[in-house]
Amino acid sequence: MAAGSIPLGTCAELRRALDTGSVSAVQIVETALARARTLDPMFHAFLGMREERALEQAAAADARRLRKEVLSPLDGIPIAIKDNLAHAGEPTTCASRILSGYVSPYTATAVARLEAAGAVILGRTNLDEFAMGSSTENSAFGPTRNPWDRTRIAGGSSGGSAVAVAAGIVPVALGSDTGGSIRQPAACTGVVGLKPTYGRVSRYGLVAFASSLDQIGPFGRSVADCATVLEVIAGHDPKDATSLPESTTLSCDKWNGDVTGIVIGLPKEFFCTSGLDPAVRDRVHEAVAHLEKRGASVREVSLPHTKYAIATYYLIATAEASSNLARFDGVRYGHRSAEAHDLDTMYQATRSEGFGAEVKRRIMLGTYVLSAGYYDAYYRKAQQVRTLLRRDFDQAFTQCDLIAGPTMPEVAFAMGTRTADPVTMYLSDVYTVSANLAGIPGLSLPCGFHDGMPVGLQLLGKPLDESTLLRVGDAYQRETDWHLRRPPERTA
Amino acid sequence: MARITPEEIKQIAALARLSLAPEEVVPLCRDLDSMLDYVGLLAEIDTRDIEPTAQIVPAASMLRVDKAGASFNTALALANAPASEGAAFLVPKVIEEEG
Repeated sequence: MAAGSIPLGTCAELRRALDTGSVSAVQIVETALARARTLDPMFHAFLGMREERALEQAAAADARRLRKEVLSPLDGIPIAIKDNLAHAGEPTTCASRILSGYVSPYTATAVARLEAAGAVILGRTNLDEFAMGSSTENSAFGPTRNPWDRTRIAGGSSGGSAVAVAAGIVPVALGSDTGGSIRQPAACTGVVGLKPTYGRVSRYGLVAFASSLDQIGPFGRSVADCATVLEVIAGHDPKDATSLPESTTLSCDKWNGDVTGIVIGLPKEFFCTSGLDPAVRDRVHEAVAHLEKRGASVREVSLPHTKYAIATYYLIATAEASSNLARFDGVRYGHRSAEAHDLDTMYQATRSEGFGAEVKRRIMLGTYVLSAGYYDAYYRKAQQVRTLLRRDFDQAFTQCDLIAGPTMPEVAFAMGTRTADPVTMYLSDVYTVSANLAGIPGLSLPCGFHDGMPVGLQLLGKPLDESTLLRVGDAYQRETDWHLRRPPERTA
Repeated sequence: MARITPEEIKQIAALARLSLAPEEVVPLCRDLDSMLDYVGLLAEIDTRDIEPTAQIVPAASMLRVDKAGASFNTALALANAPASEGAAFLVPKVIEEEG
């Protein structure tokens, strides 16, 4: 059998194989690298691999195992990281030309915690430039393709990480989620994606897009694997002033598939959205019915400001982005224009050459809404509506333990069909942006298929209550096998 | 419903330190108009007396001990610089020499 012909299993399966000695970490990493070599030319999930370092780290993991000094459940397990996370000595491109030549001088806390746990960083994954997009079509290095149908989007912005997991190259990956950038590509590709509570995972070393919304989280094929990664990367970090002190104890070993007593809220606004594909709606209702059979109860709740969420999100996110991306000026790192004869020309030429069309569009909108005369009408207004959206969730969570709905109103759409009109692209985030605005955790998991493409179920939880989301998601996966389905394997 | 003129686009671009190619101006007018039309939806909500949310995490959790920690050395800080000299980033001259 050719190396890499078999997709990698879950972390839990690999860990058992490592424990029994039937496989070594080096063999696992070799398989992952071989699969990337075979499959990635078709999907373009990766922007860079670290073959040599990954094999060294795997060998070190094997040596630790021999000495019975295993560091964590992730010791020796390969993981891919989105290329907006800093990793010392490695490039960090954000899929942008403006960071060409940049080599990170430091390591993001989430990545450092993975390495300290023995995880093997396999490579950097593709994204929409600076995480701005919902399809990974905005990458300066070309789009990522969906392994279920290469003519369709992988979702975005963390499309590369989602596909690396969906294609069975790695069991787990890290992404970042500012308005749905973990959950939406997870739904598009039939994997699990978790956006933790804002502040749960340190953002130190995550290239900032919209600082009040950004959060790092895991992709995996099983909910349990996402929980394992979250426990490793979560926790307070003095280098991120917004990281929370609360501990992350998920008690995964106590999960038994029973969800008796859990009250699931179904927001009526989520199911009457124009653009919701009836087949997606049906899959979600079927998933909720499964959970009812396992002991959960269901009630209707209301999130009355849902229809304002996207507008609110795009005002806040672009305003914060226009400010955050001011740092890319050609002075300290990355691209500098050859037209740099005076300082102002240098800034302008560098930024105009370095940023792609969507990034420029968002910087322009963000600059406009923050400019004198428009601040109150747009930016402040959006911040006020953000308060109302938070209150909606506070109110809903007095009546239920978690909220269920679709992750996306439809299955992954055809590539190239939404790039001409930014607003239609933004509408695919209708169900995901609210969680970022309210700071609450959100989980997407596969709940069936439509038109041959995976459908995502989204569970939204109370702040810091990832535990309930993951426990319920795990219960669902014990009952169903959607997450075990694999895209058909073809070679180029 | 066009609100943004090409002149305004150029002003915003100047504020954002972007120099736009002539062919970028009209599409950006159209895109910003379309985005502003969409976000105009918020005008229908009464937000009088509603506090704005700037940050989800309470400010009290944001303080740490005011103590200097380890930092990059000069070589590492300059390692990515497009141009540097000694311990400094090199940029085009900003002050004209006197005389």
